[in-house]
Amino acid sequence: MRWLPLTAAGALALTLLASGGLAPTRAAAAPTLNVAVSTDPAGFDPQATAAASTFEITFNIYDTLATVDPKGNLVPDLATGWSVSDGGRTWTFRLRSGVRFSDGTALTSQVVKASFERLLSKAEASPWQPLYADIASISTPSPTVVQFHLSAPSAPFLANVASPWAAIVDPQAPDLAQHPVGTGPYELLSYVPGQEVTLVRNPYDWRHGIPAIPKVVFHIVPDPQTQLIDLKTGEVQAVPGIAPQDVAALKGAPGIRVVTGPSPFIQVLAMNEAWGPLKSLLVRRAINYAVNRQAVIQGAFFGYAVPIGTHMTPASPYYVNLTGMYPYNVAKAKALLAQAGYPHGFSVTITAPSNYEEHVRTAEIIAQELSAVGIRAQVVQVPWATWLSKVFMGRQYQMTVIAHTAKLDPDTLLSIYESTNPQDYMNYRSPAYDALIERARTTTVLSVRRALYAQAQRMLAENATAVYLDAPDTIVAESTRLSPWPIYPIDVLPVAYLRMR
Amino acid sequence: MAAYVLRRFLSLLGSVLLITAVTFLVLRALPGNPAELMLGMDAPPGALQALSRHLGLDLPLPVQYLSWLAGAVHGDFGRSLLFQLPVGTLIAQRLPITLALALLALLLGLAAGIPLGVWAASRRSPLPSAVTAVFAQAGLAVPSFWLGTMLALVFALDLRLLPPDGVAPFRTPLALLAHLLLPAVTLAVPQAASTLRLVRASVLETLERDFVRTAQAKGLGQGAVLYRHALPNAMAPVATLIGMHLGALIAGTIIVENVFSIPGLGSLVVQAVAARDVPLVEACVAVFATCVVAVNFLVDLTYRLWDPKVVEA
Repeated sequence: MRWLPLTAAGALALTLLASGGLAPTRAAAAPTLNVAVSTDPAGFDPQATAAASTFEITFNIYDTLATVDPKGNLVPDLATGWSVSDGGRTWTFRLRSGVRFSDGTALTSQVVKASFERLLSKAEASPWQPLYADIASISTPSPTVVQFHLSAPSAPFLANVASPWAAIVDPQAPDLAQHPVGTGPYELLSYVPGQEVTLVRNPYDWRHGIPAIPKVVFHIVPDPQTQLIDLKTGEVQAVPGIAPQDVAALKGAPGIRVVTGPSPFIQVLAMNEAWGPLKSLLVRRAINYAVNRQAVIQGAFFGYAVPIGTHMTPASPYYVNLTGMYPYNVAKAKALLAQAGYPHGFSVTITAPSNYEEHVRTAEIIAQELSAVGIRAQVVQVPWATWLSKVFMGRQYQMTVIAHTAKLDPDTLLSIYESTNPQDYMNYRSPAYDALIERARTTTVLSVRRALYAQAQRMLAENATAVYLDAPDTIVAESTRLSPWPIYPIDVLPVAYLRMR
Repeated sequence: MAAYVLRRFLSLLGSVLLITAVTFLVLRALPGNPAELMLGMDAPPGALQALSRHLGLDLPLPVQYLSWLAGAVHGDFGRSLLFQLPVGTLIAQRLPITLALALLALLLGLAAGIPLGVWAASRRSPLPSAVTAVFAQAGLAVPSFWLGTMLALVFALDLRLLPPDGVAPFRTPLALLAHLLLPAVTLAVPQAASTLRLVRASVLETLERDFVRTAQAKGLGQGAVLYRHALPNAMAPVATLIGMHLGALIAGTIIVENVFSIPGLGSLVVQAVAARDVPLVEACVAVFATCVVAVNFLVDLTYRLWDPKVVEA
């Protein structure tokens, strides 16, 4: 039995080793905000990734030339102002003076240029490069002025510059994914994968009196129920993004407040226009009449969503309210089906990504509703990897329930219906629509853009390309010690302006 | 002996290589590709092709595998697609947790299995035999994901005796131990059950031997006969079993870590597979495979040292 004490010693030694190696440095008793999030960030280099989990955190570490406020307006950030000239081909940004990165490097127009060149470089292979392909050159007339020369006028350019992945990084920093260097209100103190991300105030931050909370820890807690337990026991003060079904359990809990606001997501029942009966406009319209959006909102979102009528979030200033186009009407749906030659309905599958509970629930509710008009719908759950390959990229599906994420410019949502777009997974083909989107992209006159996008939204609704279901709310549960959580129209977790008692 | 060790070592290396090659093929044969998962639905059109090329996903599969292998041989396991961190860093951080869990479970399993096995063999009365037989059957039959969930519900949530998983549980050794206890018990139960059965059978067999009769004849007490004479001589097969257990325990951590949200290698590999994070999955599987294969190798060696009658085959 000589090995027994040895095993014991080994286990103990490893235990000590493991915990010793993981113990983060604990600062003295300063107020710390603890936030529960579900997933690890995909590194801290915002230019290198498409993962929302990265932007949620790096939004606090980096700044952009322009940025977005909670209402969705584009406002000055590192640039104090900008102007467009040369018919929309030249964008000039005046930089804020006295700005430094968390490593002390000063922000100049040269640094901004180098940061964008990094975003566009082959070596970095940023997934966002296609958005900036129209940058022909960048010039720096003075240390505080940077100019972008575009090959063609681009209306979405300002929104692209204000997006989190266009963060101005310190181009000298060797490994931003692990050691981010930005001008934002916070810098990264430590990251323990699978456990926590710790941010502390950036000593060089240019905002005065901001951030109010010197230290923020994002705890990675995958299980939503555990997140809520941690909130109730006071281990965290905020859980941004709780599921709607969990709100009821928090009602009346002492010291806990629930904040809601519009999310960047829109949920749709997408229909493959290249498949069987769905080729028929009458059938797609019949399905639009057959789906009761209120039932989906109540059943799958417990009331925490608003109905939509087209492919746009109601939070966007470009949104057109078309919810009245297909009021819930079973008789009308049946009549349209009969007119289309399907008086007894047909069989169809609704594919839903199994990792998104709310889409699966929505698909089941819709299957139930379609049975009332004679359409026999079967819900098929697939893993996310399969959904992306087969449905989104492969277009091998009949109907599917999914959410699209709005970005700062309406172009990103609406351009997926362009015939040439590889992401046009609903197989919508309309030369008129393509021309409309192209025109809207190149005009910088706001009123013209607005009119063109309104027309595009109407075309999608009239064609019944999808059943545009609802825009879910973002729901944040937080301690009443914390000021109300700001809900932004993009997927970020801004903590700089929060205050805590 | 040296030639034997070398031969075994080479076959060990071959096994690990084969396992990584099969893992690579299976991972890439599954629907979904790493670049698609990294980009999701949000990246602009055109990004997918560029990223696939950047990651080398457009190359033939054997070329992709060999280039991974070439890096791995030089100690460069690449960067995780999911975490954007060097794979080595991630594994170095998580392996100690998984090993601590496996060893703690081994310890608990032996601490429970050996005394129960001796107790079951000690008397000819039916009660200990019956009790331990029921425990052994149940322990082997119960699935670990169910047992783990039940233990967490009862001890962590209802009785609040032990912490559930949650915020930063791994700050102090004591906290780590408290968090690893339930998962370790979950892993230890089937292992204790099979140890019990083997110890009982082995001790019973030893008790029939002449030297035991001699010990009894010279007037030694029951306990002395059992623990000083019978047990040490009954341990050889148990040592082999420990090796097999350690392999099973390391594999078992994959399920248990996910049930208890333990941030070890087991939960890491599941995340990595879901994201088709090829470099991370390959490295995790290589580590798991090496652990299991190496333990078997060591057990083999120990067995030879223990019992010189085992000659080279």
